[in-house]
Amino acid sequence: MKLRRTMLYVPGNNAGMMKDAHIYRSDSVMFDLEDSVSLNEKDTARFLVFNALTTLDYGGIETVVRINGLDSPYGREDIRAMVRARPNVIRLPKTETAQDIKDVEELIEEEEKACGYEVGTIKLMAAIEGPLGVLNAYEIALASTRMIGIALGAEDYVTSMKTKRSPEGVEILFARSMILNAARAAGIYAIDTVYADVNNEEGFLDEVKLIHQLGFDGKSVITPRQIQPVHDIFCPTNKEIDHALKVLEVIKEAESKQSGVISLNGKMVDKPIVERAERVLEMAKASGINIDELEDDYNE
Amino acid sequence: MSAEQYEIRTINLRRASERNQLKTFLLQENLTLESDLDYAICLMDGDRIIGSGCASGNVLKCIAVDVDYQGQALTNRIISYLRLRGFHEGYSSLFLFTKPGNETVFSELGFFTLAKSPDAILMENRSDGFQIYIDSLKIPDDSMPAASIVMNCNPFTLGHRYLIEKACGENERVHLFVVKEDLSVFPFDQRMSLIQEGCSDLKNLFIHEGRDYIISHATFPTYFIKDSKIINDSYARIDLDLFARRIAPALSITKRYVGEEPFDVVTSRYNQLMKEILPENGVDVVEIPRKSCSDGAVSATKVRKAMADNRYGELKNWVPPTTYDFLLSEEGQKIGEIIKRKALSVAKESEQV
Amino acid sequence: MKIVKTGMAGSLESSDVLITVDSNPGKGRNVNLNSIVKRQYGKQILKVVDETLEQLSVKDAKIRLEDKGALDCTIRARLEAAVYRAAGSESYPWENLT
Repeated sequence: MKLRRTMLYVPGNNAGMMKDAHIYRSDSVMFDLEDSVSLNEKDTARFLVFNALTTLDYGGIETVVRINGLDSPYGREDIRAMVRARPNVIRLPKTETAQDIKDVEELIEEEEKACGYEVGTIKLMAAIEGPLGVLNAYEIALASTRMIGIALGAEDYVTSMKTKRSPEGVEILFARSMILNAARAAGIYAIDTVYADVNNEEGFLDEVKLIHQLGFDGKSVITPRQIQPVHDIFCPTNKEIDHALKVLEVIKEAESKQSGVISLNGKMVDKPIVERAERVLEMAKASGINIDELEDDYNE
Repeated sequence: MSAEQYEIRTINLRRASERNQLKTFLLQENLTLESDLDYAICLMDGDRIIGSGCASGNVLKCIAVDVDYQGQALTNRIISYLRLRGFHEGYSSLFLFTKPGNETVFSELGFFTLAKSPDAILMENRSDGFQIYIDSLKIPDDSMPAASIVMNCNPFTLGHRYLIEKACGENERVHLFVVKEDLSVFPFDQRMSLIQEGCSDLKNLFIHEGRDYIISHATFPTYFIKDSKIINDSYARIDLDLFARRIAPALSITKRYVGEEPFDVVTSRYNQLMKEILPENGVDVVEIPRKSCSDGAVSATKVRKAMADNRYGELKNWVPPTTYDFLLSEEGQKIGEIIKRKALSVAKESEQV
Repeated sequence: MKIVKTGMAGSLESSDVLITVDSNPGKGRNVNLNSIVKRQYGKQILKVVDETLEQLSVKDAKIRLEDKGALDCTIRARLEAAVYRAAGSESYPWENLT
C-alpha cells in the first residue's frame, strides 16, 4: 500500500527547497509550476524542476509536478518538459470536468510515444478547486486509468462559494465529503487541501484530526514543519495496533482450525474488520513502529 | 526554507496608507522615501514590514532589512527580486544607492562600486558598464589633455554657445557631455541636435551623450526635482566623485568649464562642491560669468518663459539662428504649447494656494 | 545558439545562482564566476558551465555567475534558462537535455 499522508509543496523556482525537499521524509513531494511561480518566471521554473527531476535522487519519495492548466499558455510546454523529466505523477490544477483530464492524458500519451516511453507510466492526479469540479468529482476520478487521486484546493473553492476559510472548515465540508466519496467510489486516493497559517500549530492539528476522521488519505503540506504532525496523527494508536494484531491472530487460528465463523471478544470478525486491521498494521509499519517486535510481545 | 515564510508584497506608492507604512519603516532605518521612486516591494511578516527595496527606473535604493530579522539573507531575497524585475523591465544594468557601510553586503550580491561620498555610495551590477560607455564615445585614440563641459541645454542658447566657444578657444580639445536624462521639456534628441547644429563650426569640440554616468537619474537624482529645492550634497558629491575619479582620467580631462549660477540653488551648490572635489583629483574648475545682453544674463529659463508668454520676437536675442528656426518650426511650436500649458497650471496652482 | 540580448535567470538565495548571459560576437566564451564556494568547487562549476554551453552550441557569450552554493543541476537549469532568454528562443529541446 502506497502511503500519501503528506505531499510537500515545493515552489518550482526555489532551488534551495528543491535541493532539500526529500530530507524531511514526506510521502510525496510536489514541485509547483503553477501558482507559486510568477508569469514571467514560468520558463526558469520549468528548467529548474526539469533538471532536479532528471538529476537528483529523491530516495523513493513519490515525485509530483503541478503543471499549469491547458487554458494557460504554459500547460502544453509543461507537459512536453515533464513527460521527459519523468516524475511519478502529474497533477492538474483547477480541474472542472473529466474532459480536462482526458485532454491532459492525450497530450501525455503523445509525448510518451514521441519519447518511446511505455504509455501510461506517468500517473495523474486532479486538484478540484471550484464548485463545478466538486460536482464532477466522481467523473473526474474515473476519467483516466492513470488517475491515482483527487485533491481539494480550498482557497479558490471558498472564493467561488462567496465565503472564506474558517478554523472549523464548515464551509468546505460538502466539498471534502464529495471528493472523499468520489475517490472511494473510484478506488483512488483523497488528499486534503493545504493549511496556510504555518504558525498556527493548534489549528493545523485540529484540521488534520478532522480530515483523518473523515477518511482522507493525506494532506498537502506547505512547510516541512507540518509533516511530522500529520504522520503522528495518521499513526495508529497502541490500542488500535493491539486490536489489529489480535484480529489477525484469531484469523490465523481459525484458518488452521478451518472453522467457519470467527469471533473476537464475542464480536464477529468479518471482512471489513480484517481489512481495517491490515491497514492499521501497514500504517503502523510505515509510521516506523516495529510490528514484529509487538507481535513477539503479543505471542509471548 | 525559513525565508519563504515572509511574503514579498508590491507596494502601491500612490496609496497613502501603503506609502506611509513604508515611509515609517524607512524612517526607522534612517532612510527617506524619496519622491522619484516608481516601484517598491516590502518583505512582510504578517502585516509588519521587515524589509524593503525600491527603484526609480534603473536605480535601486531604500533597501533595508529590520535589525530583528538580519542574518536570514533577506537582503539577498530583496535584491534577487529587484534584479530579476529589472531584467524583465529591460534594463541592461542596475544602479544602487546605499550607505558606505553596506558596500561589502552588496558587493557579495554582484554590485561594483562606481563612486563614493562620505555618506553614500553608488554601485552598478556589472563591472564593465562604465568601460562600455567610455568605449562607445567617439574620441581620437591619443591622450591629449582636454577640457570638459556638462550641459543640459533646455534648449541651446547663446549663453551655452558662449561658454563652449570660450572653452574651445582656450583648449586644444573639449569634450561636451549632454545630459541624457529625458526629464526636460526639450527631449534629449532635440537638445542634442540643436547643440550639434549650433556648434558645427567648432572643430575641436567632441559632443557626447551623458548617459547614466554624468548628471543622471543614477548619479544625481535630486538635480531633476529642482522644484522641491532639495539640496542633497551626497548625490552631488557622488556625481562629482564619479566624474573626477572615473571619467576625467579615462578621457585625459584636466579642466571643467562651468557657467556662473546666480539663481538656481541646486546648481549653485553643485558648482560650489565641484570647486572642492575636482581640483583634489587634478581637474581644474573654470567658472565663466554668464553672457549678458541688454536685459541681463542669457538663460534657457528666460527662453522658456518668453515662449510661455508668446514673446517669440525676443528669442532672437538669446538663441543662435539654428535654435531660433527650430523654435518657430511646427515641432518647436508643439514644445511651446507644452511650456504654455505647464506655466498655466503652475499659475493656477499658485492662485489656489 | 546565438546570443542576441541579455538573458538572466536564477536568484541570489541560498543554494541558487544568478546567471547573466550577454552577447560577445566573435570573441568566444567569457565566463566570470563569483562564488561563495569558489575555492572548493570553482573548477567543477566552470566544467558544468562549459558542458552546458557545449550542449546548447553556444559559441560566443559573456557569462556571469553569482553563485550561492548551487548544485550542478541548478547551475545547469539556470544557465539553460538564461541562454534561452538571451537567444530569444522558446523552442525548448527537452529531449536533448535529458
